[in-house]
Amino acid sequence: MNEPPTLLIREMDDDRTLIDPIRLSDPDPAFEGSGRAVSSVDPSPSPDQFTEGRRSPWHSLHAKLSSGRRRLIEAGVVLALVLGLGSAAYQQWRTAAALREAINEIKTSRSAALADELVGLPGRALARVGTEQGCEASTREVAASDREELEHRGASLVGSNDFAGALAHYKTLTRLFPNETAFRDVVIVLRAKLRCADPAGPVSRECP
Amino acid sequence: MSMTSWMMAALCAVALASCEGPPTAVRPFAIVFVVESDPGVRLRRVRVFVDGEPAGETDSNGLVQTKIYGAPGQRLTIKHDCPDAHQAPSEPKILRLRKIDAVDSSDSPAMEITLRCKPLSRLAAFIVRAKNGPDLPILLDGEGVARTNGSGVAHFSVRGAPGTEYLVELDTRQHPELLPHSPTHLFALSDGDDIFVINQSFDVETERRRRSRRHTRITKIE
Repeated sequence: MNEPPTLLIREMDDDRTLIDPIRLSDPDPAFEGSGRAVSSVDPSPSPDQFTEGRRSPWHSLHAKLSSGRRRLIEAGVVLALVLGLGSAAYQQWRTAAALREAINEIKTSRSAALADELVGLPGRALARVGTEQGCEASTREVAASDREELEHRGASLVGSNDFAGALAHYKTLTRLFPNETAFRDVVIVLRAKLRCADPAGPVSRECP
Repeated sequence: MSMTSWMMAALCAVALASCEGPPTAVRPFAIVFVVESDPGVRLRRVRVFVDGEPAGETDSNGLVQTKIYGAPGQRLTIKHDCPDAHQAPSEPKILRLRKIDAVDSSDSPAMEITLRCKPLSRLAAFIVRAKNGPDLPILLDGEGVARTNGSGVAHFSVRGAPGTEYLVELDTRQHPELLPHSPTHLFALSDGDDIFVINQSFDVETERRRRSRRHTRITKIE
C-alpha cells in the first residue's frame, strides 16, 4: 500500500485541476491553495506533479511561507542578483584594465622602436636589426600600411584649415618618411603660415 | 599805439616764442636692423651698410644692433646684402634720425628698422584629395609628378617664381569609368610659400549605365 498515488490529469483546463482518483469518491474533496488537490494519504507531491504543473508547488510554497519570510527570500534573491551583477561587472572591468595595459605596452614598445629608428644613428639601427630583426621589420611594415591613412588624415587637417594640427601631423610624417620631400615642404609652408620662425609671432605657441 | 598795433606785436611775440631753438649737437642713436625674407622669417649673416659704411652683420636671430651718431632730422641711406636666391629691394632705404623719449626710462629706446630680402622662388605644396580616385597619375603642366594612393590622396611640391601658373591634371585615361575625365585645376603662385588643396570628386560610371547609354533609343521624327 506504499505505492504512490497516481495522478490523472483528465483535462488541461484553465485551472489545471489535478484529480486524485483515490479521493474521487469523496463527496467533498479538500482543496488548499489555488486549486491543487490535497491527498490525505501522502501530502508530499510526486516528481511528476512538478513537471506536469509547475505553478502548483510554487503556489503551495508561496502559501506556506509567511509574508515576512517571503519578503526575506525576495530580498535575498535581489541581493544575490545585485552581488552577481556587481561581481560580473568587476570581472569585466579588471579584464578591460588588463587589456588596456597590454595595448599601452605594445604602443610604448612600438614608439620606442620607432624613436630608435628615427634617431638616425646607423650603429644603433644596425644593432637593432641584428637583435630584434623581426620587431623592426614589423614596425616598418605597420608604418607602410598606415601611410595611406596618415596621408589622408593630414590632407583632411589641411583641408579643414587646422594648420597647427596639420603641422604636428606632417612633422610625424616627415619623421616616418624622411625621403618624402613633399611632406617636408608641407611642414616648411605650414611653419611659415603659422609664423613659427618668429619668436614674437602671435601664434608661435601653436607651433609644436 | 592803436589796438591793431598791440595785436600785431603780440602775434609777433607768439610767433617768435614758438620758433625752434638752434639744432642740437650730434648724439648717438640706438638702432636695431632686422633682416627678413618673409614676415617672421629672419635671415642671418646679412651685412648692413649705413651711408655706405658697414654697420654690422645679422646674428642668428637676424638682428644687427648698432649705434649711429648723428643729429636729429639727419637722413641716412641704408643698404644691405642678401643671401643667394634672395633679392634686395632696388631702392635703398632712407632713415631719418628722430629723438624718441621713453616713458619709463631715461634712455632712448632703440629704433627697429626692418629690411627685406625677398626670395626669388616660392614653394608650392600640393595636396590632392580625389574622392573615388585611387591610383591616379597626377600631371603638373603635363608631366607626371605623383600618384594618388588607395585613399585618393597625393602630395607633391614644386618651387617657382612668384606669379608662376601651374596646371594640375588628374589623369583618368587608365580609368575611363571615372567622371569627369582627366579634370584640370589651375593655380597661380603668389609672393609667398603656399599650400594648394585640390578636392576632386569622381563619379564611377558602372557597366550597366554604360550599356544603357550605348542602347539609347533613337526616334526618327518624320
